[in-house]
Amino acid sequence: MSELNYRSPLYIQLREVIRSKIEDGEYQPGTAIPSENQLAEAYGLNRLSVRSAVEALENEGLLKSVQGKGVFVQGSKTQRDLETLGGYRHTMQERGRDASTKVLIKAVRPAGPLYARLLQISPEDPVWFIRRIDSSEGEPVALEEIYIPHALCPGLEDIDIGLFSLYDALQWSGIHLSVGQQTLRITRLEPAMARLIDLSPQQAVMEFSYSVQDTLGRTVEFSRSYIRGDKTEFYVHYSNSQLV
Amino acid sequence: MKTYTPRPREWAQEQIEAYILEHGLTADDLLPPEREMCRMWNLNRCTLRSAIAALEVSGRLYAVQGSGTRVAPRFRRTLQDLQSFTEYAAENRFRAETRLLSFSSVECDKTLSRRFHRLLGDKLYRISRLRMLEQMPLMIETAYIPHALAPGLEEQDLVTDSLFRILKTNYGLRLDHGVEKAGITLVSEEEARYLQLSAGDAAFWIESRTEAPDGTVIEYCRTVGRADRIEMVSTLHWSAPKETRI
Repeated sequence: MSELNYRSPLYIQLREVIRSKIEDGEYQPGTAIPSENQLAEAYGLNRLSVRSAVEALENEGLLKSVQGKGVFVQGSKTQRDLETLGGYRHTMQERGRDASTKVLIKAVRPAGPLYARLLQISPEDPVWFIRRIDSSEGEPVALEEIYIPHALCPGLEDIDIGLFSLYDALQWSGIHLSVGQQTLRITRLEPAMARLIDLSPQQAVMEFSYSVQDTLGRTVEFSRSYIRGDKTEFYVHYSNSQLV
Repeated sequence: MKTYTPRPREWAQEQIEAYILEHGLTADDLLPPEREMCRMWNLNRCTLRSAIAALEVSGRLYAVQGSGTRVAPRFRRTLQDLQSFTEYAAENRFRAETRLLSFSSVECDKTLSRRFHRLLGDKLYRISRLRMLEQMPLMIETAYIPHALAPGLEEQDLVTDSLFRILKTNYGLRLDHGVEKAGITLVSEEEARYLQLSAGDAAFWIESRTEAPDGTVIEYCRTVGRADRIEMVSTLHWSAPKETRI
């Protein structure tokens, strides 16, 4: 690319401004950048120039624009090939176009005795607690409850987890996932929780609990998903040769 | 920053679950008396009881009239080591029992021929067994194995010996990799009778296929297992992260 100077097209100059703010971490992965209007005003440009700059970065995969929500910084993605790695997957994870996530709770709470134990921290330590509902084709399929030590991912506050996966959010905090333990059970939900995914309390659900360690051996996440058995099945590929 | 305060019942549940982990309580171990738990965690009786009730509904605890609340037993079915039921029971010193429900020869129908990549009409052994742990029925496994791979299987001891061990040792088959699916099913009347459930109760439905290194399908198995007694565990490994901008 040729050297920029003050005579370079304005949209290209702005593009490079945004790029360097992403690279310097001023704009964090998963968070929204200022709106078109704000950028236009801040740099004295017209909106068309702003839009061109943003579009260019979208094409590069650095930004992701979401209808009605704004333009978000797209962090790098880890290639994950769960198929060959021996973990349970459920068919819901083949997220179709019409899959959506609704975040009901995203808040901080004290770990308490149970999550302190599961996450190997102290009971007083703050943890993120997230409760969300995954839907497919407009129908709720899974209720998910996630616990993450706050200290590991303080930036989660500003990341819209309805748009980005938690794995991406963790990775953007410099966490590299290494091993996960998964447990699959059949259980029933208390009425208030069952209603959230349109089940009657008598109906059985799959409970999928999951704890993940990073490459430093820290437990970075514990989660429990309750998944409608009539909508999904779990499958796993395994191999003796991979397990040494 | 938003904060969340667990409701008293939720908090009580967490205390109980933490206690179970901390004290390493396993199948059929007894929880402390209610009064003791209320004192330890500063809970009122009513909150504690509703927490216990919730854990009973979700299948973690069970109560026996007059003898307290105990940890519900679960058979941990691990996948990766291809450990057989027989080996699992021996390792955990459980009294295991197997009842041979049926042993027959069937011909590949369309579904089976797809599963095995074999011709329609090829002969398969069909072995249906009821597995019990500590005298409680756990699951019904129905396994299919091609005649061609294990001729004379009917002569083998499928009640006390492990099928996988027989296939490995007596037939020199290498069980190398596979795929397993798990979901929920409702049990039929016949299954309910064996599993001591009521027809229509929810149960695990597990289908698995085990292959040799060259991809030959050695075994295809369908399992119906009691929802309240089984948990399936698996370990997942991430490869070293390969960073790519997308």
